[in-house]
Amino acid sequence: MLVNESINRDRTPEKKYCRFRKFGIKYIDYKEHDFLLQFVNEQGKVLPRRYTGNSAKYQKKVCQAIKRARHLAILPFTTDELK
Amino acid sequence: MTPVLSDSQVDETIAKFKKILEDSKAEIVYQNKWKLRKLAYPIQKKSTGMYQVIEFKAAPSIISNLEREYRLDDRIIRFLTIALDKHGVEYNIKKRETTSTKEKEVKEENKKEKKTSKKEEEISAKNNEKDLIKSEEPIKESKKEGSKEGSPESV
Repeated sequence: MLVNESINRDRTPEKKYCRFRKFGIKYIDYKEHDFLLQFVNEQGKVLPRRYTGNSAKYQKKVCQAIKRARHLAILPFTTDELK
Repeated sequence: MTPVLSDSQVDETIAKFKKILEDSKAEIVYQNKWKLRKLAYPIQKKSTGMYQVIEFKAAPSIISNLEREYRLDDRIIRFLTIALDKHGVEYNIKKRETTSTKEKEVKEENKKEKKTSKKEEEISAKNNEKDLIKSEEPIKESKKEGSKEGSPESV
């Protein structure tokens, strides 16, 4: 007997968490190029919270750190093939 | 290859700003020189730069004077003065402790490199930490960026 596959078949989404809250990181250093690359896409744009799982408070801090790093030419404003 | 902006000129610039800080009775906590770094985008047509980080404590009134000096000096291309909150201070202290104990350095702190640029401009990034005389005070970090045009292949 032919049966259609059920949609949303037993799929529980991965539990997302804010890495700063989980590991107790309080300060985000704008001088760290490699660390900030995690929150930036290939074109140098800041990734939205729903991708990185950050809480609102830490997303703001990350954003501020990225903007400072851009001012000091540690990170680019826009580019291709950043990663 | 003869470096145009020699170590002494860089040190001179740094000493100049240190003097300004000391004249206004600021307490310099920490300073750090990064090696010549490639900039993420060209500034004033230059692709590399020297960075310097200075952490200091001072009264708020000297900041405007300090920034004015940064703007006037041709050798400084970019600077950033920020106030460090308590988490930032703790982070910096922790970072210094771990770097002093470890032999090898992966992060920026311990890199030193000779300059091989051709132009006479330099950028230094300074970290300044500011602290008032009373118990709880806002702390500032300032960073200066100086750039030198580096030749594509360093020798």
